[in-house]
Amino acid sequence: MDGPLEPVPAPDELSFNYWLLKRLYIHPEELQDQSIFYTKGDSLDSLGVIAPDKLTGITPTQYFSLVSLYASVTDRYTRYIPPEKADQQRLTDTSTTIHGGIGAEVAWSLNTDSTRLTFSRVYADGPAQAANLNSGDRIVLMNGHEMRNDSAYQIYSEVLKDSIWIRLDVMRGSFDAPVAVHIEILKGNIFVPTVFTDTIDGVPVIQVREFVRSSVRDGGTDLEFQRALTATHGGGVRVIDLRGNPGGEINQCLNMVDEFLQDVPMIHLISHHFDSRGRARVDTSTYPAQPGGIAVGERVILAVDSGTASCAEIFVTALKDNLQDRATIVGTHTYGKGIGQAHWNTPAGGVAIVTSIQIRSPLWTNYHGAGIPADVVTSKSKILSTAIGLAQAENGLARRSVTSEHFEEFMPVARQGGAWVDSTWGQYK
Amino acid sequence: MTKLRLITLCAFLGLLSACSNTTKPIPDEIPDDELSATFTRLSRIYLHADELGSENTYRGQGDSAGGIYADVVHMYSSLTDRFTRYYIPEHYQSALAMYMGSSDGNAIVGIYYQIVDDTLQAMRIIPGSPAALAGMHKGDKILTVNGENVTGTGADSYSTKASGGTGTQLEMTILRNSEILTLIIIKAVIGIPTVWLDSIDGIPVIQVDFFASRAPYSSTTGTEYEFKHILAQAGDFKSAVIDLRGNPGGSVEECLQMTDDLLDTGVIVYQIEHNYDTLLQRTVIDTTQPLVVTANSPFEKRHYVFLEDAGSASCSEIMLAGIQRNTDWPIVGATSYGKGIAQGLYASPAGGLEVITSIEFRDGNWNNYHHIGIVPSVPEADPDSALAIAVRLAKQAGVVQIALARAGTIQISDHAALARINAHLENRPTYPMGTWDFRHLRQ
Repeated sequence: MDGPLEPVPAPDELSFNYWLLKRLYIHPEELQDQSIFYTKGDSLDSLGVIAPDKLTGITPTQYFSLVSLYASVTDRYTRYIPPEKADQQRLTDTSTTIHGGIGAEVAWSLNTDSTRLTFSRVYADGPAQAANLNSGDRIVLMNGHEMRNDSAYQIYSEVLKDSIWIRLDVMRGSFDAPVAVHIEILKGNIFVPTVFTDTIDGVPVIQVREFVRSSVRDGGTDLEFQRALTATHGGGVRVIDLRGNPGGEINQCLNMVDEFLQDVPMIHLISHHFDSRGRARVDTSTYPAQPGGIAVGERVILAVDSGTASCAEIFVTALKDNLQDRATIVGTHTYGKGIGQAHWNTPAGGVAIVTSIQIRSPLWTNYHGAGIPADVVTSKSKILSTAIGLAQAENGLARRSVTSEHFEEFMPVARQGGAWVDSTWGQYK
Repeated sequence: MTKLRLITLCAFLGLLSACSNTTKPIPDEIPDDELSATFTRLSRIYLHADELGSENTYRGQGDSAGGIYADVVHMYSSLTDRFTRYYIPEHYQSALAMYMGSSDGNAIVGIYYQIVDDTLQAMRIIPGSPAALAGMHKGDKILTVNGENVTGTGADSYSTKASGGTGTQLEMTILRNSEILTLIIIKAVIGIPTVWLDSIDGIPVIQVDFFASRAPYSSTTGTEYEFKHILAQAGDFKSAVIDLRGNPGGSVEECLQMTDDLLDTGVIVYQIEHNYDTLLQRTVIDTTQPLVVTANSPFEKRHYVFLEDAGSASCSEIMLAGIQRNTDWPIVGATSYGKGIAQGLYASPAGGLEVITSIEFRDGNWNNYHHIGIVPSVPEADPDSALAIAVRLAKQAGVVQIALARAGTIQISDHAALARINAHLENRPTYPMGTWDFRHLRQ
């Protein structure tokens, strides 16, 4: 008698993974016969991933078979996490909260008063803000260390890592008439924002670094973005800076796009999944924008680069396809990740990460691999200044490009303990 | 927190609704207030959600005599789709039984009868029913119930005379051939079969009354289970007639699986479903490609002739659409009802039943047959004539039959019908069996 469900093979780790890939992976035709993975090789040494004695739940031979299986598919996001690493993998990256930081970012610049590190951003609700650190403060001494030299960032990183109390002597205000300020900060839990709003040369610029569920104390990237849109309302054409944004949670970017659109498709997902009867099925899901939004139909300029990926690309295509000429993409081709992965727990306790979702833009473009072309192509160093220049022209502002050029040189070095190091950032507040 | 979940998807016409048994978790944030809860769900998944005003436009608007759920009833009645309904908690069980095709809880005798020459005649005896246990046979004529005459003018009072709950004892005199017998029938609550097997001229004629949902959504085994058993019971036939006339639909899951049982490959229908994505917390329009499963059924690779009429609706039309797209099996009769939508069934916080049209179907060529129906390949309005043609077509099984019919070597008394068969065979469009083009969605 047939049951309502298709029979699932006995939970042998390899056959389960093969079975899963065969049904859910977007290119099942790439899979060779299951039997070849059982017989392949016997050397784990060449993998250099996990020493055999560290494996739990599966034997080295099984692990080798599994690695061979996953290596045989072309999609590199489809992968196997062995049981001992599974827990870590399951802790999905849903929050930007950092335990033990000061809640500020520094930028590297050669200042006339010999200081090198300038605080570029001080986060709301963080210890640095509570200790009255200001954006623009320049570091002279940190826990007694002289900071006016080229090792400043190295010292900064080490002190930040090793100390609980951070004592800073900073210079505040103009170079001509600076004020020396002493600040003591007790490190704590930091809510790292993901959206930053600046007015650069008269143009509202909203930088979105990633898309997470929990960033500020009371919400995620979408909440921050709503606030940024509200704060810049009436300020003319906005530039939304998505350079280097690697993506994140899809609900965040959809909610954000929804502020600009209503009643039109934002995204189509072609997903391979199991239906209620356990049969593998392909569904197309279309997510329409809801009625209303803070910035419905408004003109927008998007700054993108080759690091703009995944969810950030969803954001870009959703606006571009629907707003057409009202959205201008400035920069380079984007990264080109138009796929999604489903995570499955395996019988041995591992995690199978399978690319089972393909993304299409509202106009059914597949940008996976290709990336999204820019409307205005510029070199990497001119992206933001070009975007701001466009906005200035439309907002009726005289173009002043000097500061914008500096802005471009901002080179993230590290983000650690709430610190983001870049050059000259501190001049923009 | 009230537990809320989609019970099943239903499309049948009985109160006009095909069911697909996908249980989907409904997010907890659906409010407990009945009007808020039902409004929230409608605004998320109802096919024509733009018909809805704001929640407050319904508050206090219901007929004050209509009890505490009057506002909800009023809101539902303001919608244009007449399959979208709300059943107050008191009617939950009976409404659910109706949609599922399971017993409504009433005790029955267990016969289908018709009145022939002023006499009640048992046409079908439900297997295992009180009538079957008492030894009643198909064709028996009922003369008296508990001593009272039910022939002639008394026939109309049969249902009153045979009324009563579980355990009610009925003494019936019956006429079998020329013999008069007395049967003692003890009424009981039993499940009612939805698939019946007859044989005409050596051809199995399988009548499907309804697509009843299977457990766990209902107390029945489901129509597909019955269907497979009836097919097995029919033996090693080459060709059979499947009669969907008057079948109002039922569980989508059942009719899809039954179509699977008969086909070896191909698209049955496309399903466009308005869902609420709990992860992304927004409405999503899912377009599903139901494929005929690879699971082999012993009933594939045979020949079937279908019967339809204006009463074949919803789930019946899904089955007919799948057959029409993937085979050249004849469909005899009159154009079907034309219901290309389906409803999801949900339990409300107060215990009412929400029946919401949230699904549309398209046939294998992405045509919408809603309000159009499935056009028969062999039109025949007269039911008796349609059955006779279907049996004849089945007898000649498939391509051989068609060739023979064209050559005029078989006898079909209805020459007009034969002419229509030939005309149909010449004009029948051929459908490309290409891969699914997602761009269809944009139409």
